[in-house]
Amino acid sequence: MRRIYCRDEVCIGCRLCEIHCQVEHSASKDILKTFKKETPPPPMVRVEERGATSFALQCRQCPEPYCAYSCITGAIWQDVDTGEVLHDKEKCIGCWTCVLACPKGAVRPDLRGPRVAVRCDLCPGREIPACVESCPNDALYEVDEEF
Amino acid sequence: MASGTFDYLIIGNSAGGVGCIEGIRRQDKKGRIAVVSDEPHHVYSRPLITHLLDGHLSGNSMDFRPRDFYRKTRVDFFPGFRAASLDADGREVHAVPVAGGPGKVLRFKKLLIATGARPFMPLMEGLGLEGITPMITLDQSLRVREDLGQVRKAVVLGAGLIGTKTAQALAGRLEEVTLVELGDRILAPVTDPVSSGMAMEAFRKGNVEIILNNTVTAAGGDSRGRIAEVTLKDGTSIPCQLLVLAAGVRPKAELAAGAGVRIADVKTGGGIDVNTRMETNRKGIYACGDCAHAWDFVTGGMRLLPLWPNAYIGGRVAGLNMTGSEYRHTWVTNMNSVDFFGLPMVSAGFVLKPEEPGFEEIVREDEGAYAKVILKDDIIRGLIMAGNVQRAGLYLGLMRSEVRTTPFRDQLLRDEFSAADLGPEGREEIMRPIMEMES
Repeated sequence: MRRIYCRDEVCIGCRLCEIHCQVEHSASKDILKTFKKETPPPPMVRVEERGATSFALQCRQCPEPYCAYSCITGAIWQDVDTGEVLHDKEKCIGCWTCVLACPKGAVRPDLRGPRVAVRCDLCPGREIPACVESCPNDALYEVDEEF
Repeated sequence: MASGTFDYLIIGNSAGGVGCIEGIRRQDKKGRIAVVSDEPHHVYSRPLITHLLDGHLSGNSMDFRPRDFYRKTRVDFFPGFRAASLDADGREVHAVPVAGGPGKVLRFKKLLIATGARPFMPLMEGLGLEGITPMITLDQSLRVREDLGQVRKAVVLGAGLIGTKTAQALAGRLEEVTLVELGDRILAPVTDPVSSGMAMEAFRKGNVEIILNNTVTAAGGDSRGRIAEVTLKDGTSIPCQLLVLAAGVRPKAELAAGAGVRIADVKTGGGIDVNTRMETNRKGIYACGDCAHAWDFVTGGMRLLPLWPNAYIGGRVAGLNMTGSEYRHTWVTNMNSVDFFGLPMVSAGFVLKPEEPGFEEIVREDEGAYAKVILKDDIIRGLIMAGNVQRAGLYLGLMRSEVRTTPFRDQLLRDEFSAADLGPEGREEIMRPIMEMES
């Protein structure tokens, strides 16, 4: 399972990961258009901060995904054979049960237009997720773990 | 009479049944699984049935799993068959077609009873009129939807989750919707007076009239036998062409009871008695969901928790245990999340501060947002968030792990309270994925 980690000792809370996540998941994928012309999507990664402590947090890609186990519509579910957590936004009704179920606080409500839950999708189609690639301090890194 | 023998038999085709199938298939790719359901449909999302009424959803978007689910999980699915009797010693279920015809004998090694709940029908005159219905099955919702052309005004009895969601959906379609509730606030099990007040405001803005401390005592019909008005306890009468009964649900435990499976005392809910492994007093026979009790990690006792995630996870734990694993279902409490007319609301555990000594509450009220945590010994025992539900799960996670919040107690309801407030160990725990269910 691909998973993103953060070295909090070098995270300075610049939030570039959030910005680049938003660009990657915007309609245009263009940084200026995303923030000047469109309504940017909520970032799937979030920098959590208190005082000098800061670190980026996104979906932990749990092998036991309680977001999926709690989903009332079947929008988030885990493929029995592959273990992959699938997320069909068309089926999401924005009830936020997954937001309540995720003990990491890593599922967020998207309140633009049709209200849907968002969780890190590891940037499908990209070799390196946008947040990892854009981190100026290499605080974010990706590993491929067995489970 | 046709018959079949299965390693795993599941009665009920809803959240608990799906959880059980997915739990079994995690461990056992080969064992024979059968599902018998008295409903004729592919597995659908029961909480979505009220969403059908506002016209935004089509039939297929009700599917809780894709249409190839039974094929991919290699399940023999018997829709439209009612489990008429259970022989716990002989290990077989007699199933009869709802539409009539010859029955089937289904033999099993392991059984899950996930028969769900039935609506509580209040005592009232005129219950047999057309246009009076509960709202817990897809067919009931589809019938109401087909019928909406004849309806200008509707009354919904009961302001729990089903009643409020029904009223919300109907409000977009009808001239007038009235929600009648016996208690002194709506959504009582999942709100306190403040969050309930916010919800009521949202409903009133959404064009739903709310009548509290009252109930429907009689329905009167027109010449065609269709409902034309209801009379309330205080004598008020309200014209309507539709009455939705949403005064709660009761566990369907008769099949289990008839087979000598132990049922919990009716005072504690009357559901099927299970342990935290979801097994009944009869070895190899499991139960979950609205028909059974479940462990509430906040109150520390078994109770009815008729909630979708409880059914799914309970079924999953049962399925895993049927294959020889040892998992416990200790993850749930009274927990809910809903969105009414754009007002998101979550709650978990206690919503009102218990009377016993030692409980405290911290409250925060802002324009359009409200949050409350109930603590005992600095451990979170209750949560309400309305208007803003960001990171709600973080609080529920702290509740479940019984984390003593003393070092960051004062930050709990501050803006952007987050994992950064938890200290190095707490942070490390947050970064760690959930690898195992409770065992």
